[in-house]
Amino acid sequence: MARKKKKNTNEPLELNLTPMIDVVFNLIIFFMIVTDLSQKELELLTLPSAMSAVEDKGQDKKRIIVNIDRNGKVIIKRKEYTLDELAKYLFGEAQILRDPENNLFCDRPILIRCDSLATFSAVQDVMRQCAERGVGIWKVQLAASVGKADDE
Amino acid sequence: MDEEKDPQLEITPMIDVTFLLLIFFMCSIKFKQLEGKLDSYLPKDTGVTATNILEIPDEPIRVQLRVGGGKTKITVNGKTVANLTIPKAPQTTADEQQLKTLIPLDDLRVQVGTIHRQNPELKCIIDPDERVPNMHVIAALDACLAAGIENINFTIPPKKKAS
Repeated sequence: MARKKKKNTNEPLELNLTPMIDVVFNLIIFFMIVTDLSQKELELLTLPSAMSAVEDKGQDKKRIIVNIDRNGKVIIKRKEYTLDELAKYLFGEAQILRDPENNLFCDRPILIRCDSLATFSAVQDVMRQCAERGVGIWKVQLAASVGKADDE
Repeated sequence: MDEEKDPQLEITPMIDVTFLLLIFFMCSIKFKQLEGKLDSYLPKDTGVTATNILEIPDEPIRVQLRVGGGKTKITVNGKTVANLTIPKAPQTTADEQQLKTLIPLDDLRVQVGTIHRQNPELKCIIDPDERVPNMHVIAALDACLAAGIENINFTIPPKKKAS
């Protein structure tokens, strides 16, 4: 394709705004969807730091994730649960996978993600529900952010 | 023949490609906040029991956290090892980040470590009262784990009737 126009002088760049706006909109929509789909289980919380915390690979699909916000409210998959609702929920979830050797216990682990400033009594309430007869969830994990000392 | 020597740079497709590359790399990096977990398996064989602590022949290591005057006092078998301020509700992002700083409870770790070395069989019981913030309990748990104890239990108060 022979181009007749010779660029001997520096022409100012012509920026086509229309395709740029299209691309930006696409990006925005894409990230909105991706973020929403991936974050259904994890609430935005400030987790406390712990040195002994082991990195969480997040692979276990059968893990139940319970979030506790600063006010002590229990949130699972974006919904709030009262203690009674939590009891019913955990009971239901625990039936999905019992320990094959001992039916009293559930083989599913549970991750309790509690905000730094929430009172620990909220975590204790969840743990108590896990230990209830019929539920038997014993593999409890507490979420913490991997801590580094100030000078590291 | 095309005598054109100057290459013409077309900006529009270049921006498209750049955006695509951006999206690709942003998706492939795992952006998860570095989360860790502390395994705190409930005792499988005993579950939640209402046993009196005095029944256990070997007195377990009692780590108590009690709130008083806006501070959490941490004691090991009655001996005070830490007195942490309970932070006020954070106002700025910087305050919020402050909540994530590591609280190194060296005295607690040393105390518990000493008792553990003398008697490795002893289990540890962390006993927070109602108002202790999660971050202090996690810090205490962290210190106990750092001291080498694996058998750590939490006290769980009985269910309150009214809600």
